[in-house]
Amino acid sequence: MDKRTLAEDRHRQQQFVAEVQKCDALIYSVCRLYGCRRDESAEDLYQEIVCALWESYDTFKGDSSFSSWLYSVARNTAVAYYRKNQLRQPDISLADIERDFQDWHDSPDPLVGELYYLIDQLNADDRQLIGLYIEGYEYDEIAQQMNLSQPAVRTRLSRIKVRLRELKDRQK
Amino acid sequence: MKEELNLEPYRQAWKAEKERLQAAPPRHSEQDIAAMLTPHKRRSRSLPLWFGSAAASVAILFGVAWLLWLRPMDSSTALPAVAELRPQSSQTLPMTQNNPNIQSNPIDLTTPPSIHTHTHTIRSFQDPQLNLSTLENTEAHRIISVETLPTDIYNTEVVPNGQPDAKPSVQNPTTQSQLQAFQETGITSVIDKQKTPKDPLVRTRTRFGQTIYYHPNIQVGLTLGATFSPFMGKQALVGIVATRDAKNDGPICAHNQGALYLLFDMPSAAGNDSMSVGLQYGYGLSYRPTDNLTMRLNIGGYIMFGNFDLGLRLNAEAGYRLNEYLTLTAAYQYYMPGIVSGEGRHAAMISLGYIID
Repeated sequence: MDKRTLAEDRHRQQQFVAEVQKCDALIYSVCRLYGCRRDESAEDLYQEIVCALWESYDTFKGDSSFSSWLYSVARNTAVAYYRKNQLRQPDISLADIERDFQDWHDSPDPLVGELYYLIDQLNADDRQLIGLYIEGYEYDEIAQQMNLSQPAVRTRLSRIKVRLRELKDRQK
Repeated sequence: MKEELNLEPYRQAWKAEKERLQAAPPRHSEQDIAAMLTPHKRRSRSLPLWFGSAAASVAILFGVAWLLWLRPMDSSTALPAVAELRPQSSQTLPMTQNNPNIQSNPIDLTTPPSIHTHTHTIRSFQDPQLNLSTLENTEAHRIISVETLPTDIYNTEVVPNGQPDAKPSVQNPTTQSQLQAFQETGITSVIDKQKTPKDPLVRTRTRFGQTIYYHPNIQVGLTLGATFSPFMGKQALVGIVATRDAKNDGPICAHNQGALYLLFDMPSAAGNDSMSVGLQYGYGLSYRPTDNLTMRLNIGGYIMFGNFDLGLRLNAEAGYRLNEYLTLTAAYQYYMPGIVSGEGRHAAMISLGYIID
C-alpha cells in the first residue's frame, strides 16, 4: 500500500474535487436517468456518487478518460441507490417532471422530460436496461454490463418498449 | 401483436441533452463537493445538533441519577436492614450465651445507625487469616452501634467491656458473617483505619497485620482524545466516561461503562467544521493484576448525534491508580462501521478519573 504524506493527500483530494466539478452536469444526468425521480433525491444521490467516486479514486489509473471512468462509477452507484430506495420513491406525474425541469434547466427538450417520466414508471432492472439503451449501448454491451444473454436483453427490451407505449398512450 | 414504443427519438434527444448538460455551468462549487467527502455531514441535515444536545443532556441526567440514587442492589449481596439484626423481642442481644469465658454484656443496638455519605468499599480480603478464629483471643468489647454501608460490609463501633463510657473511637469494617459471629461471642477486634503516605492506596490494617485493600467501584473521568478514519478524517474528542466495576473479590470482574463525547472535526482539505455528540455504552471484563493497575476490555454500542450514526464499538483500556481518588487511563477504541456512514474509525484517548465510590 502506498504511503502518502498529508500534503500529498490534500493535493490529491483537491485534484479530485476539481475534476469532479468539471463533470458536475454529467453526474446529475446520471442521477436523473438511473437513480431518482425528484430533485431532492437527485441531490442525495449526487452526494452518494461523489463519495463512491472518492472511495474508488485510487483504482483510476488513467487508462480511459476521467469522465468515462466517472460515468461508469456514477451509473453503478445510481442503479444500486435506486434499487435500495425504490420502495420509498414517491409517485410522480409528468407535470412534476416538467416543473422540475423549469427549475433546473433553461430550455429543456420536451422529449427528455417525457423520457424521464416514462423511465420513472419502471422498476430498477428495467430502468437500468432502458437507460443503457437510451445512452446508445449495443445489445452485446448491455448484456455484458447487466450479466444477461443477448436474447434475454432483446426480449426484455421488447417488453419494456411495449410497456412504455402503454404508459405513453395512457398519459395522453 | 402489441405495439412497441419507438425509442430512437428519445435516444437522439438524450444524446443532445447529455451534451448540453456537459456544456452547462456546474451546479456545485468545489467547496460543495469537498464538503460531500465527509459523508456523514449531509446526513445530519435531518437531525439538527440541538436534538443531539438535548438527547445528551437527558442521558447525562439519567446517568447521574443512576449513579446516585437508582443503582440496583444485587439481592444476593443486599444488606439486611439494621433493624433485622436486632432481636425482635428485646432491645438487647445477649452475646455470651455460647461462651462462658466471656463476661456477659448485652449488645445495645438501640442507637440509630449513622450512614456514611462517603466511604470506600472493601473489595477483597487479601489475607485469608483474617477470621474470627484469630480474633477470639482478644478481650471482649461491646458493640454500641452498627452502621450499614451500601455493600455487604458493616462498620461497628466498639468499646471495651466494663467501660461503657469509653469513647467509641474504633470503626471496624466487618462482613455480615463476622458481625453475626460478634453477636454470638461478644468478641470483636480493634481495627485501625490508616492512610499510609507512602502507599497510594487507602488500606485498613488490623492489629494482627492483615491488610484489607480497597478497590474503586465507580469512577468518572474527564477524557481527551482523537479519532481517525481514512474517509471521515481526524476528529478531536472531549468528554466524560463513567465506569462501574462489579463487586467481586477476585482479580477479574465485570464492568459497565458509559460515555458522553463531543467530537470536533480537525481542519482538513475538505473544509469540514462539524461537531458531533456521541453516546456509548460498553459491558466487559476488568482485570486487576495489582492494586494499582486495572485493565478492561468491553464491547458496546455507540450513537452519534449531529452527524448521525449508530454502531458497535470495542474498547480496550489500562488504568493506573495514582492515589486514593484519581486514576489515569489510556484507552483505544475501534468503532465498527456505522449503519449510516458505513465507515469504521479508530480512537485513542486518555482520561483522568475521579473515584467516587
